[in-house]
Amino acid sequence: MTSFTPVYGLEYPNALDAPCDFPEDWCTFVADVDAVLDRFELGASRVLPAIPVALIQVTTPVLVPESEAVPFDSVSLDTAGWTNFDTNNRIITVTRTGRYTVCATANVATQGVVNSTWSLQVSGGTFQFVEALDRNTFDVGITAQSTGTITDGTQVSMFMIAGTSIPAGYTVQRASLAVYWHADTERAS
Amino acid sequence: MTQPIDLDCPDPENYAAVALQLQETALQVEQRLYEVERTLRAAANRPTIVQTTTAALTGLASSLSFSDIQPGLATTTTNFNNMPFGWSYSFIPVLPGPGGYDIGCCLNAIASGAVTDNSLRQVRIQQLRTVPGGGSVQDVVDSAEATVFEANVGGGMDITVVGTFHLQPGDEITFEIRHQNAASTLNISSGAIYWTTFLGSETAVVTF
Repeated sequence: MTSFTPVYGLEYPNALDAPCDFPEDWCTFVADVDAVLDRFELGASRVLPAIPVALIQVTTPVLVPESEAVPFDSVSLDTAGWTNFDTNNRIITVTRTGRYTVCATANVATQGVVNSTWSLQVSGGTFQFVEALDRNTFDVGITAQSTGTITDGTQVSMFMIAGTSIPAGYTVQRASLAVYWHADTERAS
Repeated sequence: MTQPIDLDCPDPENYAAVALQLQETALQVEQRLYEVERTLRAAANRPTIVQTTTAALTGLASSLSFSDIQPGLATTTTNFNNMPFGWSYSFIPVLPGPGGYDIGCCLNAIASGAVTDNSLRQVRIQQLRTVPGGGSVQDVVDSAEATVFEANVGGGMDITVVGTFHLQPGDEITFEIRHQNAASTLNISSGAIYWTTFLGSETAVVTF
């Protein structure tokens, strides 16, 4: 006859247990504690020493056809196995549903049109867009950061949308796209 | 996180050692709980520094070259700092260690006098790394930037730049601005905010 703790259901001997059952009860108890601690450690391992994060970059200027996602040439950081440039160098694939921070930045050459716009757009999850004015005088730098929900399997990518059509494509001189885990989506208790 | 240890339990013929075994189990449980708690406390207390200027940075001339707007060039107060050792943007310290960092700034750039209509304001954060054997030569490893144009409606331009950077000890982070407000110099108003948060190590692969 054994009893159980109310929260984790840890099994322990009670007054009706025969003394000879004690070793077996003890082993069951420590096995239960082991399982709970394993779960704690698995959760803790998601926040230290590393959190799930991927950071990919454009380090060499690249010509990008209109309406295509930015192709990256370098994986700077990937602690969660979210990138595979052999398959696709335009995406970060998130493998667990949760809330994530996405940080994107780009420097693009001017479109050659006064008072046009550049819009930096991140697809995948629920993220906002950021727009900047292009005065046809300088390259344009844009940065966007937001936090939102991303579901398991979502492919996060980055687009630069020109206010004026550029059939020849546009030049991304430098860019980076980062996704890092922020929180789970369970209701707080 | 240290390697988990398996908890021991007594053999049937080992009743005499029950008290000792209970002590051992208690110590083993405590060791594992301590590691988990230490990890969770650290995760809830990520190394971070937040600084705010308390005076304007003045006299930035119109130029195509970038000017430094590092925290500390104008009088700066540190609002919060739990970095493990002294933090310096000019030479990233060994700790918290190589890994992902969230770095940003939020500032107001305002002309000291007349405004040149639709003139450029470009703020950038750059990550620089000394080239091995290259003396003082530095590579630009990464950057984040924002470009705006002042339309001359008053109040200057509020600009935020933030990026996720993969830093190594010894790297340098620079905050810079350039502008083409030929009609007057540019000031960075008092109250500019700079922040850095260590997100996590580069070395471990997360069990996810």
